[in-house]
Amino acid sequence: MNFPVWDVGFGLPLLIAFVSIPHVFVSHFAIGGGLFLLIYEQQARRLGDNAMLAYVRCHSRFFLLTTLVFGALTGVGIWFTIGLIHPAATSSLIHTFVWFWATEWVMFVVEITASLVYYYGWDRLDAKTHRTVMWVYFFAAWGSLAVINGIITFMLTSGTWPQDRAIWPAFFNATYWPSLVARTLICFLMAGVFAFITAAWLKDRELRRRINQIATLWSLPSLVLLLGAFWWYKSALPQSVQGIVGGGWMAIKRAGDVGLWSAIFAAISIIGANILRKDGFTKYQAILTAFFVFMLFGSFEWYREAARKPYVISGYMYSNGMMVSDTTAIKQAGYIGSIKWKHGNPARHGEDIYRAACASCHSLTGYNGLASRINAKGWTEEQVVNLIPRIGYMRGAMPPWLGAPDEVVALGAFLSKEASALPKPTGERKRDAAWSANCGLCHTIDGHRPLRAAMNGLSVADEKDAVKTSGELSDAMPPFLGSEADVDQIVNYLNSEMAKTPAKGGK
Amino acid sequence: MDPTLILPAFDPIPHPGPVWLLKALLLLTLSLHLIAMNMLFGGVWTALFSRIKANKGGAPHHEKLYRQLVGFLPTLVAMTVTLGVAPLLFVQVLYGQFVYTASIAMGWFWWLVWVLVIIAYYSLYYLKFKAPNGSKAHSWIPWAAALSLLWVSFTLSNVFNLAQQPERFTASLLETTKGWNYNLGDHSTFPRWLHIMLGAVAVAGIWIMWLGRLDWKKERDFAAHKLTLGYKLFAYPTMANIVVGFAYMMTLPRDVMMRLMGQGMLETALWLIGMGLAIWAIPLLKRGSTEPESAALPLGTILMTVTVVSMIILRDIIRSDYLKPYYNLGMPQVSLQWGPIALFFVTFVIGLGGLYWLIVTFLKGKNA
Repeated sequence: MNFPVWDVGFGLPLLIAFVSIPHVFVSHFAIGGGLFLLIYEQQARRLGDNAMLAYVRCHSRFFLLTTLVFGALTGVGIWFTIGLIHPAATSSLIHTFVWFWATEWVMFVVEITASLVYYYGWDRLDAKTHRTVMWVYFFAAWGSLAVINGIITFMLTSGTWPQDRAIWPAFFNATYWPSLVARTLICFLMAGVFAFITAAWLKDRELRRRINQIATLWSLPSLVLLLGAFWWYKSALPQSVQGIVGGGWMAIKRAGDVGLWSAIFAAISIIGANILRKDGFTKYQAILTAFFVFMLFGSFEWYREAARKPYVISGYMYSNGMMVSDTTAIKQAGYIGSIKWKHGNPARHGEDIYRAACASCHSLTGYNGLASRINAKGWTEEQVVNLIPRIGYMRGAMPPWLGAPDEVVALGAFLSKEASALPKPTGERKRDAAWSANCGLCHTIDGHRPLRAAMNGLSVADEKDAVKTSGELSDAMPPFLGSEADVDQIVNYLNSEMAKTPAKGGK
Repeated sequence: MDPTLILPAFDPIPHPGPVWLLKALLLLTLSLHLIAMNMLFGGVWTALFSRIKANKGGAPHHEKLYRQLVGFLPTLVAMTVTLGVAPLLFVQVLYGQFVYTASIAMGWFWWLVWVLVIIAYYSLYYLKFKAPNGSKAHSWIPWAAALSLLWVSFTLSNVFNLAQQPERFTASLLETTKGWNYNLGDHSTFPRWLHIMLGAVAVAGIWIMWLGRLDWKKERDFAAHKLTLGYKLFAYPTMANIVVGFAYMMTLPRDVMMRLMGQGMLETALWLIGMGLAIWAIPLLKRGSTEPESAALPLGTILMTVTVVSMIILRDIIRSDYLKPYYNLGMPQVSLQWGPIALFFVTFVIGLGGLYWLIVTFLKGKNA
């Protein structure tokens, strides 16, 4: 509401993903990779293994180029990007944690310097000092993670900070420790993956075997412990967040499932490759293992991001930059009265509201496209106008709607007009099309706001009646504006799904 | 349009530390960042210049200097980026509402900064580690690095210039929030940018003179080349900068300009100190270029360091003068976070110790 909104067209979240996904992989690798260099160098020197020492030295350059350049710059890139997309949230975090960030910066400077000294020190420093430099690097890099972890976890589990502003409980919040343990284990795992991949290209089979052996020894226990850390993390989520996790929002369930299966496949892949190949992983086995580990780590980040909805800072600021404490004021002034960067023209109020209240997560026709969705669902402008004030009830954990009735109409008209410019969907209608357009946004059959109990014992005719008159049940329900064909399709779909999964599941 | 209607409010979360401390840290870290940036930026363009000279069959010193600079430049990128993080952090605490808005106006350009720095960084590492001697890569990759950094410098200068002029946050920004809006209609944009970048080349010139001084006993001819070239890189841009600086001053709003012309004691003093010391450094460094072992070069370096720091402080005061009608740092509340402040300073001291050990250990290495 306070800042102008950058319009990239395809969707701002994609831009964040573009920077942050590679960064999180590289930044965790930067920590584990330091330990990787340290352990292999130590091992090589202890055994007088010159081949392994040459391998470590060769990869210390790759490590430098990956972490120092790409890792550091994508980290800066995330900061630049969030400042553009979520200026209000970035400002809040910086005002709250500037001293922690400054602390992290000191560690960052030490980390970068140590990595340069390590790389350029191969021929200048004695073996012991060289390794000590890497220990300095590792502790600085891990310390940097320990600080940033406090800020990231705060965004999900801010605890009582929105009320009392107590800084230490905000930093060492409910998910701080499980997240730190999980991320530390991920660092080790990433280093293991790095060893598997780089060794797979070595021609010296004996060297490859030795490298894989060490990497397996730290990767497998890390993987097992990681599952425990994830479980601890999930248990540490407070009730309010658990509501989202168990709320039938498929993104979270999917993230959890993908994480679990990726961990299992990664373990099978590591064990299998060790049994099948005594002389180390092949390139394909190494890449496959890396893929599963990346999926596992990615699902953890996905889970965290999804669980945070509808907030960007839990309990303090919604994902569209609206502050929780401002909700009463916005309700009184309306969005237009609260948005600073707006056109003076009432004909463009809908566009102004879309930009300020929706565009940080949605686009019109790109990622999470609202016009595309309206077009795909076949919603009329009247249906859109009925849905907008009820977005806070949706399963996707949206921030509440705070605008005035005329603002609902303005936004509805703007989005519908944008949708009407799109080509109408062609092809056969899916069997759940009417369900997902009218009911599935807020309900599931058994999980979130379940409909099974409500429909239990009703005849088909009564079920149809219930659908048609659903809007009369409460203010939270929009009037049913679908066609007779929609009613038939909803009831058919509902009954067939209830028959398929008797009294359980999250459909 | 009245800018106060669209001006973002300052963050409701109080400043977590004393304003003077945040400001001191901003100025300290910005000074370190800008000195590293000056060496990097001037170094990249000098490397490019030397490369062009070498390609045209110039003296072998050009090729040698190119190689030497390329050896340093990747580390200078690391230093510039690393030292740039802290001032960006502190400026966002103190002036965030202006910086975010200005950067959103230039969305794509601002976003591209980190991408361009990666391009420059990898280009320089490629030249250092990979590019075969005599390959064409040495002809065009330095251009990629130099132009990327030039573009970055224009964007950064533009964002921070716009960030101090809320009256230019006009409603037109709303119509064109596609993020392609450089602040080109502003007369101060180019002189301000040029002023900073000429200063960067001048500082890099002094650095190259030092490279000459350090080689004076080992390779006298090559050292003399660096001393002469370094001096020229310092002197000509510095002389040009006196003119450009005046031009920039003329573009400032009248009341801000008048503060530099005597109405503001501090502004006038800093301006005169900066300009006076730079002028003094010209003959001094001329002597340093012919008598490298004399005290002229160290003294000239000290003068120019004071100049750079006084200009950085002046730059900050000009921002405060610009923003006076809308905002001052006394407006937000302050709620001190003593624990985290202590955490920072303890880490800072330990970090300095760590850095000292790392650097000394490296320099004392057996093959040093």
